[in-house]
Amino acid sequence: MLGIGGGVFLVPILTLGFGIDIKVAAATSLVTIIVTSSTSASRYLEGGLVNVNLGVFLELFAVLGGIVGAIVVFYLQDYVIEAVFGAALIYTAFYIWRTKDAGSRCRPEADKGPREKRSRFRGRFYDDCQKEAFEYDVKRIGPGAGASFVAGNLSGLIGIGGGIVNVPAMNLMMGVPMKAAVSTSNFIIGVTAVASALVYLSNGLMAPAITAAASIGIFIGAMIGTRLLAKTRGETLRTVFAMTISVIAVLMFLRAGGWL
Amino acid sequence: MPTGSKSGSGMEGVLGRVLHYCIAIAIALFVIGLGYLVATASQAGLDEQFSLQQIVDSITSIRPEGIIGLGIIVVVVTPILRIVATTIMSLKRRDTVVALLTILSFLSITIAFIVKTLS
Repeated sequence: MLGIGGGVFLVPILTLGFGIDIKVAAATSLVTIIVTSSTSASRYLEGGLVNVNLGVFLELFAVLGGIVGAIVVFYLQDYVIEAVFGAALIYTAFYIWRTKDAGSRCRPEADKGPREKRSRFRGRFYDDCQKEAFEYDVKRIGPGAGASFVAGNLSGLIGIGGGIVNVPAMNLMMGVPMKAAVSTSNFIIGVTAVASALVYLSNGLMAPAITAAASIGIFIGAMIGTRLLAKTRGETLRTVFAMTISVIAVLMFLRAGGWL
Repeated sequence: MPTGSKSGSGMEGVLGRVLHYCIAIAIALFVIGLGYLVATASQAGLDEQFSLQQIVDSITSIRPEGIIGLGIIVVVVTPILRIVATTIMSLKRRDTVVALLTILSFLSITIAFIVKTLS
């Protein structure tokens, strides 16, 4: 529903709740991120919510960020990254809470200039909740690509899904309405998780029984989440997103302090 | 043409179906494998880890871990198949920019896999 994959919650649940080894939990989390994102993205694609051109563009930078993350992970302390990232999430949550959704600024086709009409990244979707079609143009492509690179990088560094960076970046920085941002994030994050999942798989770190059980549960949750997204207003979604990333920020601070 | 138009037969529809069928197959394999695991009261522990070779061996001997392992492989290759489908659809639409981006993504995943394996 929020385009963040859910791995950031699953790893502590498996390790703290069930006493499962952190590497097995991380490997399971990567597979479930792909299950969640693919399940959600398939429905959002058919519902016309995903901006494919934007997703294809951003996922390249996310994968490149993941490569850099895998290299620099040996030179940075986890707790520093987690503390800085936690602080950034608190700021993002506050910013989302204080601003309005980009979708409310969408205008009819006739009002758009020729430059907007030519844009490769222009998107359009029908909001089932508001019973209205929205169009939007994507702004600040360069900084957005940079944010996607950071998202992929963080994914490689601290094992989180890049969605918690991608969604706010698309919504706040690039002017993509919240529903389209969440949907496009789901389209991207599965690809970001693939390389790491392949490594875990080839290194024999997958526990089939746990992965299957978690994936079935995540699949059911993703099916419910995608239906909820269609019935939720963009502003409500932003509030839920802000609250969720605040919780994730607290988890990051706990991890940075060594309590999690 | 703006992306995101509701379409069952366009690029969005095809990519959506690729993801949908792959995940449906994987979940079916997980359900069958878990059911088989419970029914046979397999000796394997819940968090027992399997190497790729063990998964392949389990698949060929039709053991529950093999069926689940096959599901995991299907899940992991799903985004790669989506990238390949995007490339094919983009080339069909003569959209060379998107096709080039997807090819670069595919190469980047390959590089990421090599870098992460070596590091």
